[in-house]
Amino acid sequence: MRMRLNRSAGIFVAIIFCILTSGLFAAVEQSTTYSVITRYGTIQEMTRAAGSNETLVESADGRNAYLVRSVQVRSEAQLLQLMGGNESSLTDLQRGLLETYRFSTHQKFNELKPRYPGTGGSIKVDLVDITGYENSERYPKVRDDFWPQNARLYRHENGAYNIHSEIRISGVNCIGYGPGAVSQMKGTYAHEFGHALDLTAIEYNGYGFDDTHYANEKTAPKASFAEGFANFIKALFFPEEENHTRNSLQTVKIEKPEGGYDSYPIAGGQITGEDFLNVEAINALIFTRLAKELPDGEKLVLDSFSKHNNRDNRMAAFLKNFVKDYPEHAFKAAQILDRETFGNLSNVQMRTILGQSANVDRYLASRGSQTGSGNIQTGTPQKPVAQPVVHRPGTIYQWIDANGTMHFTDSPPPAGIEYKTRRGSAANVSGHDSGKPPSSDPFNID
Amino acid sequence: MKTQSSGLFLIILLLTMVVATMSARAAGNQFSYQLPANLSLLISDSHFDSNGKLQLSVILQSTLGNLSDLEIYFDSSKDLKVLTNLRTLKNLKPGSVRKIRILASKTGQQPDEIGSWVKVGVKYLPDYDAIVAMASDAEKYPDQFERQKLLELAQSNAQKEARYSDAIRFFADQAGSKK
Repeated sequence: MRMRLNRSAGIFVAIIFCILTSGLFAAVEQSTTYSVITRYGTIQEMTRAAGSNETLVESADGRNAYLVRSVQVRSEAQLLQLMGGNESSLTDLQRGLLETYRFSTHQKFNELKPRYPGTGGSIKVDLVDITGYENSERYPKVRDDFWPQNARLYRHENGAYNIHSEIRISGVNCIGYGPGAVSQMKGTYAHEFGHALDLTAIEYNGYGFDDTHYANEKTAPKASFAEGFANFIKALFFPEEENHTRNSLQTVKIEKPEGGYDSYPIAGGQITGEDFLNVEAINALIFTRLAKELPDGEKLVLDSFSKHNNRDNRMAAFLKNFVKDYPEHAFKAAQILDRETFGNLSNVQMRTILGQSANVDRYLASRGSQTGSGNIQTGTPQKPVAQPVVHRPGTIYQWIDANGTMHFTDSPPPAGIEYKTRRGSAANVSGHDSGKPPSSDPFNID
Repeated sequence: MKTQSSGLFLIILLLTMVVATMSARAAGNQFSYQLPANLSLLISDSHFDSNGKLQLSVILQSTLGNLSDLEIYFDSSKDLKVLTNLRTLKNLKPGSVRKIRILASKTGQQPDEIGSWVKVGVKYLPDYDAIVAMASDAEKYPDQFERQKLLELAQSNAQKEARYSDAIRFFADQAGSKK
């Protein structure tokens, strides 16, 4: 009898434990809709023509509008049916929608979902079929009107504000890519999913006057953090992104108030100090390298991000929190920050960003006289250069993997793969012309 | 007193409704170039004839280079059956225009969840020389890094001799109008 009681108590405790833990790790609810454009014309025409099952979407031109029908997606077979019935007759962008739907069920997304901020929220994925509306001469604003995005909505429900994300994937950013659109659209989904996890409230005009951003553009601190984090999430699924991101950093783009951009050598003195952290590609590389190079690094990065996730996220705050959360990894964090900012931060700037830590001090001491310039130089814009900027001295291994992807690494490739080595020297455009040699870290490449 | 409380309650309710849904700013657009369309598809005429059959005319035109090995196929919602057979075209030269007439009859079944429609699709081999030449145009695509991405994509498709697949979809409730 006593044993039975004990057993019942044990089951009761187990049930309570399950309820509590499932609450703790409850994944955000996700649903998918399929939307199709049925008609286009002037706003007046479309307002008159709109059926009860159609939504009017006004075009950015202010004169025209689309009628859009949306249906909840219940299964892959139903989605196929909605797009035309069989897989072989899908357009390139429709195939992209189908593959994105499949990709959205990837186990790694399920593992990320418990990191969705708040409780009671949801993610709605809207797969927008623009079949027949890809022609930008006939539909000049179609790219603006259906650009992929994550829209965050705060809804007051049951006495609290819940965060709901609406991720739109349409393929308008891949028009003309043919079968190459599929991988681009999946990458876009991963990027937007990254935005859904992030609470950063991007600054008004955070992307500059044109509201468009390049990977190597200097933008506002929160905008560059949000984009860097979203690109990091993308790189978790597409590791080759790291090389693409690094390659984008041959120059930095600075938007001109009168429109257009000036391009400068990334370490040419146009940006200094913490401003390096206002470039999304640099932020993406810092996240990616911390995740890749620290033991269990992906979990550490995501745990620290989730713990401090708030409206005022920015890379300097993230790094300070990261060092506080994992002081044992402060040396590596300092090393990565130093490498990815091209050795341009002074010891004082490094300490301001990373905070007080014995391991940060140890790293800074190891820098010796190889401290960053941290000073302001004048530079003149240049056209994007074919000749890349040399960032650091050291041995770089350049090799091509079995899939044809080129890699630049600071350690040799797996045995049997041919490689070229480069031993760089501080370039005259790297911000080290003060005569101080940069640190010997070789990761940044030409 | 009771009226005052109800009024206050209504005001609070209204205020709650006003602030109940706030949207945060969506991220700005990540810059990317697009390649021009290779093929233009346009429905030039649509109507139901006296026998209740849907008649469509679709105009095909190459908008970039010489398209080859074109396969024109049709899909429809289950309430319609396309009577026109699959068509093939050896090539579609720049500037040349082809018109295809499509006939669809009603099946008596219910339309799909998204309505009653006919899809006209075209699978074809684009003019990769023209695409690569376009993607290499530094005047049209001045950003070197973004242009390179476009070029790599075009070259990768070209190496695989990948066929493109475009389509236009017509919703039958718009018969009589042009798209």
